[in-house]
Amino acid sequence: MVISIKNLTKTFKIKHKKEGLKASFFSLFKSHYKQLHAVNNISFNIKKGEIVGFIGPNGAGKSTTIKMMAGILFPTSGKISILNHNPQKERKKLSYKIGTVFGQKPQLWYHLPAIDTYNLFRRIFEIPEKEFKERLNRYIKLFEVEEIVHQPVRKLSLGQRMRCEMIASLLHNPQVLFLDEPTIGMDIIVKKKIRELIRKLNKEEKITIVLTSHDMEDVEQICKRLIIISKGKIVHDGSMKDIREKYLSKKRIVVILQDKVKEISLPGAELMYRGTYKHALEINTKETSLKESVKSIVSKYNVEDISVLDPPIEEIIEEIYQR
Amino acid sequence: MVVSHLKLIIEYMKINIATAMEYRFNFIVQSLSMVANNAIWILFWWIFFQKFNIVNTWTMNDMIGLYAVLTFSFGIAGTVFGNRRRIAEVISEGRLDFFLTLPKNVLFHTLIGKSSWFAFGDVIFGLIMATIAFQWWQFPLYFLLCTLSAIILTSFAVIVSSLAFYMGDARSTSRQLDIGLMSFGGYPLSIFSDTAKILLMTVIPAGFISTIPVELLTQFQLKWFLILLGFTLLIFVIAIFVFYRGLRKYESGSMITTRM
Amino acid sequence: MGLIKYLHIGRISFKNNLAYKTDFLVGSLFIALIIFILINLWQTMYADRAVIEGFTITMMIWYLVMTESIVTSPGRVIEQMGDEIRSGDIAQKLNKPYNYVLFHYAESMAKSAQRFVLTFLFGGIVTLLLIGPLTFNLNHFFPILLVVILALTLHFTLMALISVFALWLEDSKSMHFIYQKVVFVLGGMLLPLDIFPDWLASIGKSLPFSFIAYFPAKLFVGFNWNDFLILIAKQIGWILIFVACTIIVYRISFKRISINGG
Repeated sequence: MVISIKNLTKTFKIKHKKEGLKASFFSLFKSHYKQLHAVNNISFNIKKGEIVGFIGPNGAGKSTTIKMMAGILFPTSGKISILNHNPQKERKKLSYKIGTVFGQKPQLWYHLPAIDTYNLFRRIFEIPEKEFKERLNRYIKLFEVEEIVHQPVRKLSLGQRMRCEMIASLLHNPQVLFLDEPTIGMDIIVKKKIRELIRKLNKEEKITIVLTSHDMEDVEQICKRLIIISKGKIVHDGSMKDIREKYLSKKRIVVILQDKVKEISLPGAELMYRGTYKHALEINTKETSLKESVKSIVSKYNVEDISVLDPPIEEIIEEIYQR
Repeated sequence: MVVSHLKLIIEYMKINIATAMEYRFNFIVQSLSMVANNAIWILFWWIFFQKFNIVNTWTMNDMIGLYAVLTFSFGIAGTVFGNRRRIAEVISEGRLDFFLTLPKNVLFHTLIGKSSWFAFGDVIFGLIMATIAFQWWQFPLYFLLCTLSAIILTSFAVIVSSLAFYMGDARSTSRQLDIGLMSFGGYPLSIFSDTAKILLMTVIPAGFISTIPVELLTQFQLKWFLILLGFTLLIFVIAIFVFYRGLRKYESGSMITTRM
Repeated sequence: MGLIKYLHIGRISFKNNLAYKTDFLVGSLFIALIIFILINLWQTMYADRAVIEGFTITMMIWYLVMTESIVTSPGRVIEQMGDEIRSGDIAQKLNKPYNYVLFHYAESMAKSAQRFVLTFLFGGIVTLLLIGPLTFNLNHFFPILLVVILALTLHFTLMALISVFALWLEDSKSMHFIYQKVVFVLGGMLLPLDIFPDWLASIGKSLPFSFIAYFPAKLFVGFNWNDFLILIAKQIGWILIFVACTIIVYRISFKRISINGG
């Protein structure tokens, strides 16, 4: 077990300020506090080589959990073990074995080329020169950044910057990589590239990866396992397939007809979209048989094209949040 | 261990020099403005001494010597431990997390993470003043005393900046207190009443960073040298204690408002 | 007119400052400490004489309390405005240059008002305890208040003007530094100009900085209706000159900023 989390809890005391000038004056003398359970008794284990995604609404507790795993934040109670180290007690030892990339907090020195930061990190992590050069060249090739590592970081695009950032976190050969919002702010093509690289890292280098993201597709494309956190609690811990099968009782049927039909009638189906030729219906597979529905449509109407789709993962997740 | 710390300083110096060269114009502007700033203070004292000739046995030359020590100490503290005045900012901007994920001593690493170009101006100005006020054979002692001063004022900055761990936003306070140290360091200790003298050798150790080194250079007394050494050690230890205690508070997340 | 919004800006700035209460208090207490130190310095100098250049020790210290309070209360205007100008943020903020300056003036005056009161209060208490009260006629309160407001306005105007040069120097901290020191010395904040050698004193008196610290504080410790009228006339004069300069310089710079896109 590379990562072992048991009954992890993190509680914050938030100052509660009332509105108005009068209240501001009084707050000079006494402060009111509210308790916030950011992380509420969560437990999970991660094996070597897994890629696990953490998703959840804002304030759900994912960043807090990652910070506790990285040793930046101390838990209120519970046990954390990363590579058999307690991040709270053995921060320095652990820092040699883990890598972190925070999408919103860069590590690379802004005004200098990435290569300068790499050389600095070599010293910080005391990496022997030969090993360093070898690994650096390998990653530069893998991430395709030969041209850009010598340019000042401020001149790079987001995608280029993230690729360089990831290299910085890998130079010391960490066994676990924490990625917090790695694709934030990027366009779809760049995101795809980054996702591909993360998958490659996991496959070829066997690095255990823990990823948080707001982008559902990131998680879908990269992670085999998904932990959903909402209001500080784990709402789901399993594979993507699990989610589909467990929560996915809805299917969408999109039909393109040859004739103009006002409305497709199908018992037990909800109309999602009505166009001139194109119609979309949603059925609950627990109540209505998919097979029967499709048969019914094809027999009743002149169908040009028909496809059956899963609802987008966002909707599934939202539904899970609600529970 | 000391060696690896020194090596890290050298690495950061390399990066800092590279950054300075990248922004040559800014670097020069800031260094020169510091030189100008210090020159204006010398002007103030010149005016003062024109009127009053002597202040409790101190002459203009003594004053120049004081500035030689003061500015050079602030200079080396600022170029090596450039983040000493910015610890409060580092904390409130969440940049401390960066240093926490790296395997080096957090306080040390945070301090050397930046180099101040203003401080470089101080270094130059200090050296110029030293050549005016002191003889060449006094220089080794001068450098030693300035090193001790630099440790004292860095420790002070750390203590004061660490208030950020307890106060939330201590940027203005820590800046003011640091400026306070610098301001009071610019006055000869002798002009103060005994009460004030005590304050200036404890709460705000201005006496230790300028007057005492200057007096040691003009008339060396072992007793005072040992006191200076002892105080340096004391404040250094206090700084480490205050910072790490505050760091534990930070890591327990009681400062959520400044981190999220 | 849209001017009412500047009042609201002032109010929010006032509230904002209260949020950083501890920080705020410590800043003002700090000035008290400086006054304490200066008292020590001057007690040494006054050890064998009662009057220096027409100032008794009481006058001298109250002079310093006033100058410190005026000069330090606006805070880091040059840095704030300079940084905003350099980063081109303001190109998006407001359309007309003078709006931008007025906005900052409102903010700055609100801030200065609070800080001036606290600074003067703390510095004053220390002085009262250690030196004693100043003979001050309450009839002179409003005139002095007017003089202080004009001093702060002139102070702000100069800082606003200098902030623009942040564009060229690409750095606002250095300018804040230099301006501050110039006011400290040539403005008479640290030392009344009467103590300066004559030639330097004349230079100081002919520069605008002395109307921020020296003349207002001197009037405060030795009021005289004649001097008062001359002073406000000169202050207003300097303010008008620099307001004009500021408007012109900002117009030119704004064009440059808009063209370069920030």
